[in-house]
Parts: sequence; structure tokens; C-alpha cells
Amino acid sequence: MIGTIRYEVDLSRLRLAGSALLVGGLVFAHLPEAWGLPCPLRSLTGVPCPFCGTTTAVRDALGGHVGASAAAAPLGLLVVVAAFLAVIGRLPKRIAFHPAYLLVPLLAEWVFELHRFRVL
Amino acid sequence: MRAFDESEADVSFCQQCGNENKPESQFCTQCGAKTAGSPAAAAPPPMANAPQPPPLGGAPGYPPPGYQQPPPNPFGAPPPPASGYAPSPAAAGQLATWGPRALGWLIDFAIVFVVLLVFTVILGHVSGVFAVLGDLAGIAIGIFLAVQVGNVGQSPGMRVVGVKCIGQATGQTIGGGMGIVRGLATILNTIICYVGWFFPLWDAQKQTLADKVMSTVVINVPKQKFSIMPPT
Repeated sequence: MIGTIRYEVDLSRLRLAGSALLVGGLVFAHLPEAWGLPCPLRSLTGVPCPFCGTTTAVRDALGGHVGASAAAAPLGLLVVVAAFLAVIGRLPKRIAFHPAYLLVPLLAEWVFELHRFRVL
Repeated sequence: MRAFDESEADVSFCQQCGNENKPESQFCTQCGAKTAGSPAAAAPPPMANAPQPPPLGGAPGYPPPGYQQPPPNPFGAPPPPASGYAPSPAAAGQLATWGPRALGWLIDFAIVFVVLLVFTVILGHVSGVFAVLGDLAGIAIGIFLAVQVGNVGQSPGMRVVGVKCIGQATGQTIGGGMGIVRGLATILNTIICYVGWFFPLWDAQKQTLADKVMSTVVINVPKQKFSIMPPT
């Protein structure tokens, strides 16, 4: 049963999204002040969500600080690498995979963030 | 001209103007009216001698709005490359993309925002009671919009941009109660650094995280004028 579950992803806009992320991130990395929307979960409870640190990681990676990027959120650094690959590479239109391929890395990332914010 | 008795197989006559059309054509090539062979025309039987509304919009010979099939490409050019995000006209019944959905949400948000602005910022200076009333009004409007989405599939913003929320399995609206639950489920979209709102950008079903949880999809429908209440 569980083995048959598939999450289907539409990649047709990924090149556009990757380009937007890289251009936006580059602008963001060179702004004098870091700004962004605060995470609602962390603002309310102090507990970070799995995506916390991603903006910082993208900004650091595109500002040339790869180490700082990985320290903020390894997934954010991966997103930047994936965006590069999406812009230069050839992509299938659609892919389908077991959701665990998405959920397990997200869970690992969440544990990392919980540790970074000293919740765990 | 062919005789009527042998015509059924290879021509059909327009009920509006009498023009000869191929039986498989859905719209009259002369006046643009739906033909008897089109699915839309087949459903409601035309009333004899009833005044027929003129075909909506457009020049004669062109299909009316709501035409569902993309026109054949006269140049036989290949479709855009796989990577292309070529803008295609929003065909009714297809899954709605992120852009219009976000725009519809912004319109709904603006409605709530205006009320909050009046109560909390302007009247809030007069008395703190108004600020509390404003918060309550904001929540009430949020519930009111969520119930609309459940009952008729559309909030005011969704009517303007032409999208509608339906159950993934049933194809029907989900009902007011489930509309409220779906409204509450959007907290999930927000709580994970707002990432849930962006799911439709890559999700094959163009669902937000709340849509996933609620098993709802949002499809394109004809746009309507702005109205707070659903038009009857």
C-alpha cells in the first residue's frame, strides 16, 4: 500500500523558478540589510519549522559564503545547487516519486534546525 | 445543396442561421452559434419559437467565450519545447495555476484588510473597543469567505480571477462546513514559513498543502464581476 503512493511533480516551470531564485537571491545577497518574512511558527512558539534558515542559506550561498550557508540550512544550499542545475540542465516535464524521498530529507533538515535553535 | 434525408451523416444545419456545417464541428462557421452536435447544445433542448439570445461577444464566425478546445494550429508548428512555460489561455475546467490563485487570494485579503484598517487603525484611536471589534469582524469575514468557498466554490476574489474550488474526487463543491475546515487548514500553508502556499508552483495537481490535506483542487471557470455575495 505505502509503496504505491506517488507524489507527482510538474517540472515545467522549474527553469523559470530556478532563474528567479538565483537572480532574486543574488540581489538579496547584496542588499545592505537582511530582511524577510519571519517564520510564523518560530515567532509564535520559538520552535523553528523545517524551512527555517532557507532564506539565510540562499543569501549566504549566493553571497559566496558556502560554509555559512551550509551552517544555516543545508537544504537551502542544496536548493541553490538544484536551481543552477535546473537552469543549465535538461529536465523531464514531470516526475513521480515516493513522498518519503521528500519527507525524509525534510525531517533531517528539521532536526538540524531544531538543533541550531537549541530546541533539541 | 444536398437533400435533407441524406444529409444527416455528413452535414448539419445551424439552428441559428441555417448554414451547412460539418457534423463534427461544435460551432457554426457562419454565425458562431453552438451546433446541435456540440455537447453544450445537446444538453438543453432548444425551445421552439423561444427568443434566442445572440451569440455572445466576438465577430461572427468566431466561437463564443467559453470555447473549450484550443484552435488548431494553422501552421502545424510543433508545440512549444518541453521546458517552455508558454502562456496558454486559461481553459475552463483545467487546473488553475498559482498566479491567478494568488491574485484571488490578495483580493480576498484586501477585503479583510480594509475592515481591519477602518476598525483597528482609524476607530482604534477613539476606543480600544473598536480594535477588538475589528479583530472579531476580521475573523467573521474570514469565516464568511471560507463558507462561500465551501458552498459555491468561490470567494469574491476567486470569482474575479475565474477559479473555483471543488472536491478532487467528487468534482462538486465541498459544502460550507468543510469550507471552514479548509480555511483552518490554510494555517498549515503559513506555519511552515509560508511554503505551503507555493506548492501549486510545482505540484502536478496544483494543490496547496491545505488542498492536499482537504483533497480539493482549484479549476479555471469563466470570470465574473466583483461581488461580495455569490450572484444568484
